[in-house]
Parts: sequence; structure tokens; C-alpha cells
Amino acid sequence: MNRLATLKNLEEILQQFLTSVAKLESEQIETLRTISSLDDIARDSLRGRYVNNRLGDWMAKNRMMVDEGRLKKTSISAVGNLLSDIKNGLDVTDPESKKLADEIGSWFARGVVPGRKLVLSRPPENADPNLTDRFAGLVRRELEEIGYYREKGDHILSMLDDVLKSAEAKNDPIYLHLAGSIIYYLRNGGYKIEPYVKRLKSLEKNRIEISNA
Amino acid sequence: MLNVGEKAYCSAMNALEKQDYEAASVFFRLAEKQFAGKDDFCILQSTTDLLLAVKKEIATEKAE
Repeated sequence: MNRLATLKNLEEILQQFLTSVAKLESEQIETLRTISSLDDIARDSLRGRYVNNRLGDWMAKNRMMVDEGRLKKTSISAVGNLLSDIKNGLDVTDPESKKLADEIGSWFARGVVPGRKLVLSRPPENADPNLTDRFAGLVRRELEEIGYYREKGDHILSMLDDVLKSAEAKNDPIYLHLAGSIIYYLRNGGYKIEPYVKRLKSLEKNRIEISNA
Repeated sequence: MLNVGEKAYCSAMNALEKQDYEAASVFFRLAEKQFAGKDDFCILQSTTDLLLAVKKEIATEKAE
């Protein structure tokens, strides 16, 4: 057998293996796709976009998946977390959004509950001896976030806009820190950053007010 | 919200199902930090990369 024929044989074997895995895992892939599409809805909701129709469709399409117990425990937690994120962003004074919030509540009642651990609202009393490690962890997470936007091909200003929206919607210091880093970087590059500085300052002020309340 | 690794893993499996191995490889690389310790993940990522290398080699052989 010549080299080309050997390579083609190998190609076929590898391709068959991957196709078989994809077939075997088709149910899991479908679940991942479903969770990922809910994640897209949650992200858009955080950006202030109108998601009611998409959320309603998603829930109608996937209700059976819950009722038939086709979700694993980890998937249930992931869906629960995402629904919780979306529910927090719904304006319940609007009847349509209220209906969706109630529907999310009924999913929670059926066991699709967020799987988050309890987060302490106060920092520990003792000084953290691993501050450098924690900082390294924060920067690592920021790099992952940046990687996501790079993969999408977003401009750095679109990324900054999104990061500021996330900082507004989520109580996670990573977004304020990342926004600050990007703004500092852009300022050094001579970009016009005043509107972003204003937004960051306002978010920082709100955060301090909330933590002092 | 799903983190970058989880999101990339979803996209990688999706691409694998569609037999888009180039895309799967890119997404596996994005997800590898989070899933690197898992045997299943390593096998899928390595096999995908090996398949792409073999395809490249075949193309080179044919061109020569």
C-alpha cells in the first residue's frame, strides 16, 4: 500500500470514529445546543435586548425535555442558572414579561433550579494571604472573556461596550476591572474614552452605594 | 451564564456533528483550559487535530 492510500485509510478511520462519537452523543449534543441557545438569550437579555419572543419559543420547545426527565443534574443546574439570570432582567411591570417570569417560576417549581453555591455578601475577616493568586485568577478569567470576543471578531470598542453592560447587570468585579483595563489601554492609544469613563464611574459609584446600603 | 470554555465546548460538539472539523478544532482549543483533564475531551480534541493533519498531508501528497 502506498503512502497516499495509507493516509486515506487513516483519514477514513478517524472520520468514522468522530462520526460514531457524534452519533452516540447526539442526545448530549442536542442538550448542549439547547443550553447554548438559552445562554445566547440570557446574554442578549443582559445587553438590554428584547428577548421575550425567543424566550417564550425556547420554553415552549423545551418544556417536554424537563417533563420527560431528559436533563442530567448538571444540565438542570445550567438551565436553572440561565433562567434565573434572565428572570432577574425581566421587567415584571410589563404583563408579557410577568407571564414569562411566572413561567420561569413554574420551571423552578418543577426542579429546574439554579445550582449556584451560597455567596457570602461580606468579605472574610482575615486578610487574604493569596491575593496574588486571586489576582492571577481574575486576569485569567479576563483573558478568557477577551478570547471570546476575539473569536467573534468584535472590535475592542464593542467588547468594551458589552463588558460595561455586563458590569451593570452582574455583581461580578471582573467586568469593572476589565472595563478599567481596556479604557486605560485605549487612553494610552489616544482613543476618545470619556463616555466610557463616565459609564464606568457611574457603575463604580452604584456599586459602592449598594455595598454601603 | 456559560463561561467561555463551556460555550466553546458546545460549539465544538456542534461542529463535530456537522463534520466541520476545522471549526471543531478551533473551539476545542478554546475549551481546552477547562476540559484538559478529561479523557473524553482529550481523545476528541486529539483525534480531530490528527484528522486535520492527515487531511493536510493527503492534500500535499496529491499536489506533488
